[in-house]
Amino acid sequence: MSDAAAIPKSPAAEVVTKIVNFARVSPGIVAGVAVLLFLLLASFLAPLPYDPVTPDPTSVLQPPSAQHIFGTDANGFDVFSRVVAAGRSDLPLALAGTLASLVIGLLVGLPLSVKSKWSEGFMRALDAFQSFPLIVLSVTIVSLTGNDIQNILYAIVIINGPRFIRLIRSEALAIREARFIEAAIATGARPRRVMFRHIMPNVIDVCLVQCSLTTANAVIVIAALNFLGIGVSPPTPTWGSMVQVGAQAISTGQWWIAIWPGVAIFIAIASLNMLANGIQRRVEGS
Amino acid sequence: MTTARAAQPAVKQKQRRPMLRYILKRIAIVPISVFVLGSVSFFLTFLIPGDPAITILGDFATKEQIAHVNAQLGLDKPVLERYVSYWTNLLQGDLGTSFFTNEPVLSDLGKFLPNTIELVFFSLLFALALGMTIGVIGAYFARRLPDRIMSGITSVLQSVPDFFLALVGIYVFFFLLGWAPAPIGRLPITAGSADERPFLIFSSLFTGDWETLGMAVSHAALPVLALGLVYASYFAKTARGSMGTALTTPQVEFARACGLRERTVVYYAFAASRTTVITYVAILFGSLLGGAAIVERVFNWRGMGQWALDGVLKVDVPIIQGFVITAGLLTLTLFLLLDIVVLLLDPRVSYE
Amino acid sequence: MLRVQGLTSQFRGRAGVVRAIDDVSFEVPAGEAVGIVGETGSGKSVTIRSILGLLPSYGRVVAGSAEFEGEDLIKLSRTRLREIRGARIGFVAQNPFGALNPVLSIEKQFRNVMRAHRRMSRAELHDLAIERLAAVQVRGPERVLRGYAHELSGGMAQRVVIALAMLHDPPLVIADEPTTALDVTVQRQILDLIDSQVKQGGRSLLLVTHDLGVVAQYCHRVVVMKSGRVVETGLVADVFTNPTHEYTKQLLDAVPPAPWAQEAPGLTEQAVTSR
Ligand SMILES: Nc1ncnc2c1ncn2[C@@H]1O[C@H](COP(=O)(O)OP(=O)(O)O)[C@@H](O)[C@H]1O
Ligand SMILES: [Mg+2]
Repeated sequence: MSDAAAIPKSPAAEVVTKIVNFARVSPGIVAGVAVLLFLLLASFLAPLPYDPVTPDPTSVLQPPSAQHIFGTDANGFDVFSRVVAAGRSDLPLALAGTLASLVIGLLVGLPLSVKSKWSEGFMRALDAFQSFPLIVLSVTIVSLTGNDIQNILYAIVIINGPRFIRLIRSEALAIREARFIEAAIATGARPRRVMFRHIMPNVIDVCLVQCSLTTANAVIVIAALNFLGIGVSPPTPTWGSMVQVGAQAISTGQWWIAIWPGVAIFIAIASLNMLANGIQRRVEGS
Repeated sequence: MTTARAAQPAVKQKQRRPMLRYILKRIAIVPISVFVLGSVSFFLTFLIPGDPAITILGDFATKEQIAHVNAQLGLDKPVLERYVSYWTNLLQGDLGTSFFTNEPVLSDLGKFLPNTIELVFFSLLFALALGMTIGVIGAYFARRLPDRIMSGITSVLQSVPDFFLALVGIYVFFFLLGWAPAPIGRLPITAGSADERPFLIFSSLFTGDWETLGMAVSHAALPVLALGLVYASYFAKTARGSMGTALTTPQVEFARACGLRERTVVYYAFAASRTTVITYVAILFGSLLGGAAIVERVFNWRGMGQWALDGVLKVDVPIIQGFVITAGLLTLTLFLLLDIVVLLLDPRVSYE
Repeated sequence: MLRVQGLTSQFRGRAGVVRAIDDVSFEVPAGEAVGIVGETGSGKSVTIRSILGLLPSYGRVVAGSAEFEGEDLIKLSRTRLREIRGARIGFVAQNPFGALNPVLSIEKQFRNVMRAHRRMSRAELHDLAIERLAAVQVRGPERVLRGYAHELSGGMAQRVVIALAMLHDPPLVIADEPTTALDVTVQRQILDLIDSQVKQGGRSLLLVTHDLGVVAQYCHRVVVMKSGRVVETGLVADVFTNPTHEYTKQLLDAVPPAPWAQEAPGLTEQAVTSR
């Protein structure tokens, strides 16, 4: 051990060693992050063989080949270019929705961790709200407020905001009981300071898990809404709308139009779930 | 054994008929929930931006259409008056008529709700059976190879959107293998419209109409499979967690130490975690009432979810309101039943 | 009766394999009471679980044997081991509320334990259960049978557990800290009850505790454990009067010696002669 440390190493090699060590303990986190980074980088940096929004009417419904590695759809769009380009809107949107849900969870959940009649009542109302088929409620709200891509954010927040509120509140409640908070209060720290300086950092762990799960859920919600034609205008590529276009052709055997974007959704969700499991393990293990 | 000791009762005195009181208390809350539900569905219309009639019908609507919509929405009247007449109609069971088809919402519901209930029932049954098996195997072999395999299966199932799984199912089982019928509804076209035949599977089962049953089951197979596989992952996770905990409890250890058979021991652990699982059934049933919408649409199942979805996409306000109220009422009923069932199953639950 | 030799068990965890007990050996002669003492985490429960085949699925006995009535419990098939548990070896758990099934009536639990080894009609079993509950001084046995665990007090619940453990009259009884979860006021009663039940049936007892006083009062032999190993074993009289291991001395020093020292059977000829 000490021998190895004595040999001077380049900083890059050290980073690699650290990552390898980390991967040995938490393979889920590393694999999840790696796949996600790959998806993000690919969507923004990968060279697209064709313009994703310009159809080529001369090559319609082509199966995967050397020219079109994922084939083409009924309009003559190159499926590969569109699958890659779709990540540019789907992934950032999912992350933004998660961030918004987290912020709402913190802003509402932390104050609710102060026990009172009022906060109990609020939690009851939240119970009732969450027992409703939320995907339909969010479709309702998105389509009533207008068919706009930002409105998908509302959908994500409606479904995931309450989960964050519930989680953050219960974590904060548990932490409040813990001794070091008592100590902080005893030394005269003001309530707001206690909340943000002492409680918030400690709920971040569980929030990280919930964030991965929420992003996974957001990818599904976005895909589902886009599949229904909500929040997307036709030539713009999204995974959900591509699956929808492919759905019409799948009964006649043109599998590649729906399957590739579907696989992209699957990979995104699977890597996020892996990440969530990995973080969960670490939180529990410590 | 001394008589002096026998004077003190070993069993604590119970309250008189606490169960009945609890259930009555629980039912007393229902009207309040219904009031909130109805009000929410009423105020949903306020979310529509701009001139609702034009938003709903589009720029090319005729004068008559706009007048019809405005009359239905009652936009010419003050809010309070609209609210009162809304409740008057609602309490008489009048949910209005669709803007576009002019069908009474109630009769639509009568047509489409049974289809959804049937689909959700069988999907959950399948999901429950599969998910419990996966979860229990994982819990029983905790941290060993079978556990890893089962949790791998769970993660995969958890990561597939149900509508995508449905499409893969159609491609493989309809197009490639030809085992499943085309995704065009609950019966083949030659059998005529299925709309007038609610609860196709249940009714043909009870009347012994084997031919219809066969057709209905083969049409139901793919949607049930798609929904069931995805939702099985929820049960698998829940069962792995609660059974995993239950199997390491002193209770299970004591049961084993008394020489009980493994079958009984697993049953003990299951009994301890069954309320968690039952709660999950209720939650998923509620969310699937609408959540099955997309799969219903892929298979043209003509269920409540698909109907509501079409209504939502067309901003058909009475349909949206009818759906919100129906789904809400069903959910309320479900959770009431759930509470009572949990109460009956678990002697520990206090009645307060 | 029970002869444990070189017992070694491991758990598979996230950070690799952890050895919980290492080379544990001791003996429980027929008709005697043996106490296992040691601080929390010293491996007492793991020893018991290894003997009874009750380790969780990620735990394993990697070496050693536990010979009981001519069979090595470690090597036995699951089926054969199940036949022994409950019938030939009774187990009294630490926390009665943890041990009893919360959602089954007490009578149903008696029925299950009976059915695990022997067929008996409901009526017969009912009478037997009443008799056994009365024998462990449960008040109102009829009502207790009909009721559930949560309706009982801690002491009563532990009596029910003892009745269940003794239902098949096992020649060996193993009790893992049977009183730690109970009120101080009933601890003595429960220990006395176990003691009398064991003596009446001429059974052997393996009693786990972290209280040396209890060992001195109820046991003939003692096994002292520390960090998964046996550091000292022998007759209570010998070990207590002349501890050879430093750790045992520390344990003895930590306990006020006065009140129980006189009445302890281990320190009188009684224990020595009963060998
Ligand atoms: N289920 C388990 N999983 C992992 N390690 C365990 C488990 N049970 C016990 N151990 C380990 O074995 C050691 C001995 O535990 P135990 O036998 O329960 O102690 P005690 O003497 O208090 O009964 C503990 O230090 C613990 O690290
Ligand atoms: Mg212990």
